[in-house]
Amino acid sequence: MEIDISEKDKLEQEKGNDDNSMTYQSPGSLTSDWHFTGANVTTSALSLVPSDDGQMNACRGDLVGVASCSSATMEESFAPPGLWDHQTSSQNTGFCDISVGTGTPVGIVTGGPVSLRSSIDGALRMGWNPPSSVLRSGIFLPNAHGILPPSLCQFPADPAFIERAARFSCFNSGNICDMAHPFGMSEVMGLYSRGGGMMQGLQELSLAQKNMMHGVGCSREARDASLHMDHAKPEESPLESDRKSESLVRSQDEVKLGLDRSGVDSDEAEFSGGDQDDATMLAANGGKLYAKGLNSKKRKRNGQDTEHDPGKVSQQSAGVTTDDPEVQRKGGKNLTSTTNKTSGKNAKQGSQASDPAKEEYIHVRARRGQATNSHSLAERVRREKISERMKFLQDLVPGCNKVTGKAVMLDEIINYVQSLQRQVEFLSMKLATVNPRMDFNLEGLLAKDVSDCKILTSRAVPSASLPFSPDLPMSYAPLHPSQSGLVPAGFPAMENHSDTLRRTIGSQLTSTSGEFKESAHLPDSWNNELHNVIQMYGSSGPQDSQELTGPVAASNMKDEP
Amino acid sequence: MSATTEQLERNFTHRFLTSLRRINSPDSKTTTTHAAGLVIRRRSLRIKRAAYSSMARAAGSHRAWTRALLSRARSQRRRQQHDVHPNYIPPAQRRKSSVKRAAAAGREMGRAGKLRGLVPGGSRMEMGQLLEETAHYVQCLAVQVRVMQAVADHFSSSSSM
Repeated sequence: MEIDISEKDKLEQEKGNDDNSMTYQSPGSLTSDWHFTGANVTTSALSLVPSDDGQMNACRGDLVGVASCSSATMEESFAPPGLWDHQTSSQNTGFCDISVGTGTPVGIVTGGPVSLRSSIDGALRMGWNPPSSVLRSGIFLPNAHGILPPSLCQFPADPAFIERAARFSCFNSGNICDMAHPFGMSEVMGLYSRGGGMMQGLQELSLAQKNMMHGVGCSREARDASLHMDHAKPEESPLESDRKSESLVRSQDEVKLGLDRSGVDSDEAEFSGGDQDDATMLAANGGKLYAKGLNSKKRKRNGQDTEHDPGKVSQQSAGVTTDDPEVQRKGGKNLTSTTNKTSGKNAKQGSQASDPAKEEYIHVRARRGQATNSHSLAERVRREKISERMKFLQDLVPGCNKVTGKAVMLDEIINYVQSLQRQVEFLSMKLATVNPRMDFNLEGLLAKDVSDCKILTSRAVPSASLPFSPDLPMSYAPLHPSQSGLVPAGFPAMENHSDTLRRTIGSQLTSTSGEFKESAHLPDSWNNELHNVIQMYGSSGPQDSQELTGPVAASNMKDEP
Repeated sequence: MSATTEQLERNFTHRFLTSLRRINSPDSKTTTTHAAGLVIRRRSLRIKRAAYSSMARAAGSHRAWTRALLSRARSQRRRQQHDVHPNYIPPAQRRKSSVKRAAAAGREMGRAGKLRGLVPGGSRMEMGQLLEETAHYVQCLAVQVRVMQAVADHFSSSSSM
């Protein structure tokens, strides 16, 4: 089995690294309490669940698997639960009392985060199959004397947790902050979620570590991590940590709810994406899908989503397919960023815990890899709302299709509103000058339909006839007034060069006739400037009828949603 | 929705033309006490205010900006009617409301503050609502400009003909 192989590899590595290579040689050599073998770890899906042995097995798995840990402590890792106690004393900086199903407190994980505990429990219930990674974590644990981050306290006393703790400590030898170490939580998490016995090892461990780090209240994350852990990836890589962390974050939710769909898509480039996939995979298959391709696979598996399937459902839950690709991508990004940052920040556990569930509820769920603080959630909702409105405004304001970015968009909107208000002022001035002559016409125009039709039909004609007037500088447009129509490039909002050009030409052709229309010079200038401004905005501006073809009634104004 | 837009357009047009008639026909205030240029200026101001008010009423009061705009118009009218000089504004009012609001709007990051200054009632809204109101305001402004342009063209064309 891959897991076995990976375990063996790790064991070998450990051998090379540790003085106490003998300790790695065979899990069987472990104390009876541990009764943990690589094979057992991988094959026994439920071995950990039922008893302390499982717990120990998990730990042992970690212990065995962990190669990076200094060998000196390896022996300890293989010790019976009492060893854990010893280690705990030194390592248990952050571990809370973890009581595995049997209630036996694992020394190391005594202080594990509660969330993790629950997650681990859940993972166990799901038929957690401690992969070799668990062994590794066990190995790591002894090394991590005092390395265990305080966040670990939150971890439940699940055997998986123990493993993770072990792994975590080992991996993080000297670097608590590197909770995201591939051999960290992710492995552990994978163990939990993975019924298939895939030894995610690195991933799971890292995830597990991550969970531990972020574990506050992130039981789901831990589960997710475990779920993701199923990837049979013996190699540790920095990416894994990220991925794991992400998967951890996601795994928790997934575990609880079924998969976090959204996370998958976002993490395509990152392992994080794979994490989600892993999550789904965990449920379905052995974790060979660790590759990025997992995302696709994950989606396939998503159909099988059943939250309650032990070890399976959570990952595959329908959530895999990102309901909101945008959101998911954000979540993925957040994951990676958070994973990078969280390595050292145990305090951020709460924030790191991302609720992978991307299912669209009425209430907001934190996306994978995102903070689950109520504040963060609310802020995320607010940001999404704002971006959605910005998109709508983008459609409204002409010439903003290519504009990306809130700031530029806001500038465009401001410019557009200002220009519209200026147009209103110009037109009111024009009407003030023109109106007195038209008093008698007002009566006829007051009939709604009549006036509307008349006005709308008459709109097309005069607009095209207005000449350019260089008299008034275009305050809004940076272009020279005489060139305003011909040089739309200077105007950032110009979206339709051809339209402007046509209008310009049309205006120029009819300029002579237009000259005589205005009895006063002032309205003339106003008109010219006004129309220059109007033409700035292309056909979608208020002067929809300015097309030379002159369809009148159709208003191109964007409709409200 | 084009239906909504057309309905808005018709509503606004009707109101606007009505107010235009009101402004132009009596000419009680446009007596030649002031210079001709001032008359035009005054009238244009009135027309502008009438346009905005008609649009606000046509758009409906379920929008925050319409309510803010109408309340602003009402206070402006009261000030004009009661005060000796139209430019006179009770110092207490100005200091409390407008200065604070202007300061709040200006204090904010430049662009959002500017937008708040442009959209009526924008200083009281938060960003999300501000963007929503801006979208509706832009639509109504576009209708307003279009109708006003048509009216002006109609008048100017009919006057020239």
